[in-house]
Amino acid sequence: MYLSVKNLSKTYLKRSGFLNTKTSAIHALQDVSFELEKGKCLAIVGESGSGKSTLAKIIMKLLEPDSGSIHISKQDVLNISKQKIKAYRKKIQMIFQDPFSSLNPKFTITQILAEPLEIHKTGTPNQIKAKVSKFIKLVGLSDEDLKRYPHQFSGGQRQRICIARALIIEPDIIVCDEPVSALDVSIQAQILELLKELQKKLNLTYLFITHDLRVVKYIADEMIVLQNGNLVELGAVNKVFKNPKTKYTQTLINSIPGSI
Amino acid sequence: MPTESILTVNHLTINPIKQVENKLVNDVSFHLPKAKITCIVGESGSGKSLTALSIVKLLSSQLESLGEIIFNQKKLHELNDKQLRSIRGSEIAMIFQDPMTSLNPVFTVGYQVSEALLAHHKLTKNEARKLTEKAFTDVGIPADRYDNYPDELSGGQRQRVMIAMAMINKPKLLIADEPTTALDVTVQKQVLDLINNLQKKHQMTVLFITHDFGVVEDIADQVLVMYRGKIVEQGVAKSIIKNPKHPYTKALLKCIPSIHSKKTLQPIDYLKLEREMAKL
Ligand SMILES: Nc1ncnc2c1ncn2[C@@H]1O[C@H](COP(=O)(O)OP(=O)(O)OP(=O)(O)O)[C@@H](O)[C@H]1O
Ligand SMILES: Nc1ncnc2c1ncn2[C@@H]1O[C@H](COP(=O)(O)OP(=O)(O)OP(=O)(O)O)[C@@H](O)[C@H]1O
Ligand SMILES: [Mg+2]
Ligand SMILES: [Mg+2]
Repeated sequence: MYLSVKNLSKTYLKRSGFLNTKTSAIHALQDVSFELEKGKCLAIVGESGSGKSTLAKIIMKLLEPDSGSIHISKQDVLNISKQKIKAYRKKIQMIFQDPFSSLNPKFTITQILAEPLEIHKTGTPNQIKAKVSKFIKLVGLSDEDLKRYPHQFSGGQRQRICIARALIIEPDIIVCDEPVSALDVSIQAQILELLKELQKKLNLTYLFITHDLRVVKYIADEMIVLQNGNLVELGAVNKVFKNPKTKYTQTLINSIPGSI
Repeated sequence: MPTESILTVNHLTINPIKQVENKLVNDVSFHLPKAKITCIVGESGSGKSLTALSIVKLLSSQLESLGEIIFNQKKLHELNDKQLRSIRGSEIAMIFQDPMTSLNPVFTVGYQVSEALLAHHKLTKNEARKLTEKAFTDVGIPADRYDNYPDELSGGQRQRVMIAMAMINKPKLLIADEPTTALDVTVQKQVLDLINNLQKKHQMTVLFITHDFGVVEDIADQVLVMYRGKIVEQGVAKSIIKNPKHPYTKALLKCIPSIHSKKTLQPIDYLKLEREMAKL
């Protein structure tokens, strides 16, 4: 199996109360296991606070789990040697839930998009320039926008810049944390189509966090549902939709807003 | 029957300073009927957030705006900073599109919400804490999260802290910029119900920016559709959804992913759209 996550657990400890005398524990992930084939899209669904971003951050190696293991094409992700970490960071990219704080306000869009290419030394300055220009257009913005700064863009435009930055170094795996929820449906359609097309062309694997079941249905092959850090549902999207095991999944399916 | 309006925006135009020809918002006029929910929908970059920010005069200093903003007979565009500050957060509250940048990372979320309350009410610290904890549970955040810092909360929890903070002073007008995008449908429903309840109980007026026509269908009385800085269609929400008149609204309604099929999504064909609009 290409990606295999086994028995992953993570607890946040928190001191609180008068003089920090109380300790409370939040079990963000409890014994979570799943697998995914290369080139497929796994949707990670679950209510707010259920542990989705925690899982994404652990896979990105931005956070240490308490226990468990992750393997990607047989590589032991949690025990990667120092020399190999840079290669891992090129292989796997993340589009963050909060696009506002993940863009450096002092950089122009050109700098933001060129930076990962320069870090990973992927071409001559001219090649990098051409690539930056190609990817800004892929997300529906223009060459004109490249010399501007993040705060001069709308919310949805900034999200698209983050998407371009993740795609530009052509990773194998992309972890998307609510990448399209801040976008209007037209741009959403455009980005989802783009992600799908790239997936086919480059055999990309997606881990796709979303709370929108309409999007799950559209993009994902497999899905898992988290609830309070526990994995409560796992399977092919069509099967889960037809036959949800838990009440939460059923409620999600039933409470999609509007009827259109 | 025409309802009384609480906010009137007349000929609002916004452009970067010294670039009058680059109109980001172009001659926008509308009313907000009192105690009703108005939704603004429209494509990314069409000027929704700028319109909302200019109501409370919080536009970036790189931008300038022209036009009239009248709230409860007060001409907001003529008020000074001090007068505006006393209105912001009490009579008019705003939920911003980016929750992380509007929460201060060095203070606990409970502290920040209780400070918002104390800024406009005479209360003891203890009373403020009780009310803040109540506001948290109203949006589905356990009261014991009071002492957490923003980065110790999930994305959706932070968004709900912002909602709690905006609602805590029971504003007359709530401006909410994409407040539920990070929330799953069940929590979203809880938040929309809360807004709906407050709206009924306190005659609150709501300006709700969203890109989700499903949400519009669920909560809006009135809807404004924006396209490239202009309002291209406005009216009663139900009839616009059923019978959209403007080509952009029609196209927008067509590209919503559906739960019932895995159809190819149809991103808007802007060339075709512009051609249709030229015929209007
Ligand atoms: N640094 C931290 N310290 C303490 N608790 C944390 C921390 N980060 C996350 N948590 C808690 O862990 C739980 C899981 O958080 P996580 O961010 O993984 O949720 P999520 O599923 O991504 O939710 P959302 O849909 O709202 O983004 C939440 O209850 C959250 O408050
Ligand atoms: N400081 C600025 N300088 C120049 N242009 C700006 C500035 N701030 C915003 N803009 C531009 O103004 C337009 C309208 O922005 P606004 O934030 O109102 O869009 P929006 O409708 O809220 O979009 P979204 O749905 O993506 O949040 C965008 O094209 C944006 O790039
Ligand atoms: Mg999250
Ligand atoms: Mg906006």
